[in-house]
Amino acid sequence: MTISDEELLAYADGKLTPDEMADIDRLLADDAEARETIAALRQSSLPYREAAEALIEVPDLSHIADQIKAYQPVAAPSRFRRFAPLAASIAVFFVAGLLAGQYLFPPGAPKPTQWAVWVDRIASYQALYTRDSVSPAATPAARKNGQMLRVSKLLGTTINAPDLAKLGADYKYAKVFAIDGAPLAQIAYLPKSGEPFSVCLMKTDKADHGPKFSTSHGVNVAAWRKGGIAYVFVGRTPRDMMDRYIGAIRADSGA
Amino acid sequence: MTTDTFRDDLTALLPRLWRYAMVKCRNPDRANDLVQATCERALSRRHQFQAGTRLDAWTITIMQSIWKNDLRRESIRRGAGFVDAEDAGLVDTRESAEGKIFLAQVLQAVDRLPEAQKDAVYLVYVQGLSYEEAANALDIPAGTLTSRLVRGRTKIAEMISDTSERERSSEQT
Repeated sequence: MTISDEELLAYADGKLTPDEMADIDRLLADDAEARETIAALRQSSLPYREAAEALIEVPDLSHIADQIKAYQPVAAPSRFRRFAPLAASIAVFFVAGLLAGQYLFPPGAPKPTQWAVWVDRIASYQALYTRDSVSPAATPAARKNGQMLRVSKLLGTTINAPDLAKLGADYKYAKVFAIDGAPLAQIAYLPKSGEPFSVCLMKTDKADHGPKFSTSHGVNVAAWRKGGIAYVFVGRTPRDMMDRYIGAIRADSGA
Repeated sequence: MTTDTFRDDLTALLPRLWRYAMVKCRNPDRANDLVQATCERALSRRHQFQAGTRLDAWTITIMQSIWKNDLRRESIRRGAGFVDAEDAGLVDTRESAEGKIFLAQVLQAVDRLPEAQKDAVYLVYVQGLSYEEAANALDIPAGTLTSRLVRGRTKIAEMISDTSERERSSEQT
């Protein structure tokens, strides 16, 4: 009879009854390998939790606590299945947007275009942002360049982050999401005051058009297409500032 | 469990979730993303949580699933899976210099384990999950979990022993 791993662990950690210990002692008498394992297990009975709590520093997580507090539960109607899941999405907050989107397009309403549905999803995601959602720390140029290279590679076209610093909005980060399997880049900015906003980009084969403004999920949206790229500006940004940012984006990228 | 209690308990778990996310991602930005995604999924699926069971084990299972399915490959592709614990900021060497050297050795030994063994050791001995809960979180049989614990702890014993031996040698020279 051999000693199981569970028994070895329990024996080494002193979690057996005296009778069980005696049973294992008898087996150990004829099992040199098990005796070596027991010795190693006793040597590795260490203050793991204390080490993690003492040495892995936890930053201020109040922005996540705020998101937990603000999360709005929504009962998903059966039509939800048509839209989920978001393939390969690493930002699961998009799911909240998906759910919310069901109520913007209730059953019986004229069927929205795929693009309108996507823009609505982007707006619902951005609606979760507060200033606490993004780090106030400056993003190093090397990190920004690396992120933009990665975004360009994943979208299959060169993407340059519009420089909005001259208008007081700092680049924070760029991420790639999947929306119905299509890559979508999000470039996040934090202005000197007010809420953060995002410029989202996707490849498109649709015809160019100028900015179309709307409001969705309490955030302002402007969407336009130029040169095979669909742009969406989204945020709780006053219209006059949106116009300035969009002007700079279009000037910067020829969009 | 009412919604508010659920939110309060989830919020109270944030430091533990963040530490585990940091162990997995080795990068504060990605750890932040992993914790946010875990919390959102926990909130959206709270109706699946069974009252009377452990919220921490359930939430860690969600985090493990998100990591396994969405983030791990991406993190490794970016090179984050091969950074030394100290370089990754996982071990605060300033604190180590002030009397926490042994704890730093313990944490570094765990961090140098292969990922499967590291997860097993971390979930059982840091997060305090039962074998069954940890096996469930990792989606492996309980026997595989205990096997990983034995192999992981045996390697930790070797690493701690080697470190002690080096320190004795340097003291003698």
